[in-house]
Amino acid sequence: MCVAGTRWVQTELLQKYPKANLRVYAVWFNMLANDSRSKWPPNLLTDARVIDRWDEPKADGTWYGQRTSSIRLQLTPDSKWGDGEVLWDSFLLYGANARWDDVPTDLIHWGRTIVAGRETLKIDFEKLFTSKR
Amino acid sequence: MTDRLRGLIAAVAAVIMTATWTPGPIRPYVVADASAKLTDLRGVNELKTLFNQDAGKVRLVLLVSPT
Repeated sequence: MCVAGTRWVQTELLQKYPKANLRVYAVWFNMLANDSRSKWPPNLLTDARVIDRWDEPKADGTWYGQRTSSIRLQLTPDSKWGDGEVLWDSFLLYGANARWDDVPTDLIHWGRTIVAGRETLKIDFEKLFTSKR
Repeated sequence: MTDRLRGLIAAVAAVIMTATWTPGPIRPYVVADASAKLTDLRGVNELKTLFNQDAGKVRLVLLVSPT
């Protein structure tokens, strides 16, 4: 499921907005029984604006998972999230003015799963980067 | 090295470059270095640091598992 969503990000966002002033942080970690670092797909996110990291202790997913109640308003309408411990198969889109002190500011939308929230993400990209295609 | 010799070397180099140059494929999008590696995240603070270093850019965080 994550692979499908990530592939969609590559083909429908990154390839279609090659000039967008954008940074993507892809934080990978184990969630399913078959997951392992060795299964990381290096050819999935091939865009130079992507930074990949392996997060063995699920630190980022846990950090976000503990804070979803405070960002509930930005959850895309087609997403589902039941306040689990680790947020995963998820995206969080921040504006150019975002700054992370205690928590990141300027959150536009977040979604889970990536596939479920993709239409909102696509619309956000159209609004942000219409002239960058 | 005399100026004449320097000029001759530059001219030969220019001829070689012109003769061997071939147009590359037009890339429709930015492609990462093929040697991209997966490095360990050094905690939430690393993401925070990267995030703030990229101020001025729209930022997209993906939290994903590899399958």
